Amino acid sequence: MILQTKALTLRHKNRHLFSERDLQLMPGQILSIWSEEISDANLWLHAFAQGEKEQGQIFLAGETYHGLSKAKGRALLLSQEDNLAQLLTIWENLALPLEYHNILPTKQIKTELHKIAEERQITDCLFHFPQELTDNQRQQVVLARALLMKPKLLLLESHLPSDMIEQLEHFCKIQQSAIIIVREKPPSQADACAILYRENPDNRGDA
Amino acid sequence: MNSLWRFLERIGQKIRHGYTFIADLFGLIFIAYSASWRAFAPGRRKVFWRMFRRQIVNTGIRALWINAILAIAIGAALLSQVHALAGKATFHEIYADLFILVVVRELGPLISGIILITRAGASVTAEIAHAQLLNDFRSLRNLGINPVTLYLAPVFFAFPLSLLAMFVYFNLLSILSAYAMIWYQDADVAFIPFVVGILDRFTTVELAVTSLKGWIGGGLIGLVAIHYGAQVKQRFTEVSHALSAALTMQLALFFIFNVLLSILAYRV
Repeated sequence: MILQTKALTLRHKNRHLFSERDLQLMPGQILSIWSEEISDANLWLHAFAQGEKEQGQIFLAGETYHGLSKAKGRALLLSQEDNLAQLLTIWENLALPLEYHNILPTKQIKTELHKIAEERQITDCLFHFPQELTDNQRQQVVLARALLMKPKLLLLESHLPSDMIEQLEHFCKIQQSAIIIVREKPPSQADACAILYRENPDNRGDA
Repeated sequence: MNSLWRFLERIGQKIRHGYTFIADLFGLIFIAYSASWRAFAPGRRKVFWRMFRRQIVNTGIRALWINAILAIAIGAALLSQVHALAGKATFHEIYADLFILVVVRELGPLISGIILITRAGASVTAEIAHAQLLNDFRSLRNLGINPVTLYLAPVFFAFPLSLLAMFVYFNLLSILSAYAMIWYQDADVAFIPFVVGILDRFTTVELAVTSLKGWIGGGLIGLVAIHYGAQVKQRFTEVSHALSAALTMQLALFFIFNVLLSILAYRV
């Protein structure tokens, strides 16, 4: 099992969220969330990624955490904006999480980074800053980082480019990780699991 | 009555701002210390050290030339004149007293502090302000990276260390340049007694006060730079406001701190 919550209540910016909720996500599973107000669903996703446990338990890939933000890169949030740190070069953006969370040894980081940069055709822009890249190049960098970090859980905001979502879903199947994604339209039956999310995320018992 | 009320309101606001500012600085100290403990985790340690080395290079090493120019100028132009004023018999004693009094106690720390403020303090404020403006902290948090490890803790430790190193360069270069100038005028003045005369007067109290000026002064400059950089929210114009406010506050606090410490240590 990738993600399991037991009687979980999260706190984010002094608000209660996810009140005493049980949730299970299996490898390769995609959980869609949707709201009439798309910003509410995105807010919920951010709160889920960055909130702290008030009570209950969160298990991610067999380990228990105080919140997903403490999961040492095992849970990765991708939003429409703010994916790349603008004051860091592309190389630093790619290498920093690997070093910080001790995902790969230093020597291996260099090799893996060059390999993925060639695959994604971003070798020429490794020492540039994000604002110097085209939208497509930035997207490739975000994908490259997701591939390097190999997160167990991907949290995807709405408005991400559809081809990027497709590639991430493909990656999820290969890596046997799981995805929670905010949909702009009500989720179809094709999704492995769907939660229709109707209430305001500020309220208790939202999902 | 209205104007009196407004006047009192302004005083109240100033007091509240002052209190918030001090509370913020203490909060930053606490955050920096707790983050530095967490920075000992294997991966984070490498990231912390890289950022720390970068700060040391930017503050202590790249500022070396300007520090050197000022130290040489003061040593050569000002202190070498003591030789002309003092008689040959009392030259070493008078020179050593004057060097400790003027350079080690006051000019060295003040000039080094001003260099640190203008060169490194301003760049840290601008960096933090831009990181705020471009939502870099949010991007890092999305990756589970604590921005404090990257931006705050390295500054908090590198600034004091750099300032102390700058005091040492400044004193050393002042002595050497003054001696070179004196030797040019009078080749009979021997180097060893000249240096030993100064070292004899460099007591434990001098060492303690200089270290305090470096550690607390450097930390203060770094914290104020971060505090004002972090005040920037959404507008680009806030960056220039943050820069000017930080520079003014750093200069004021650093001067006040230096003067108060000198009075407490040498006059009371």
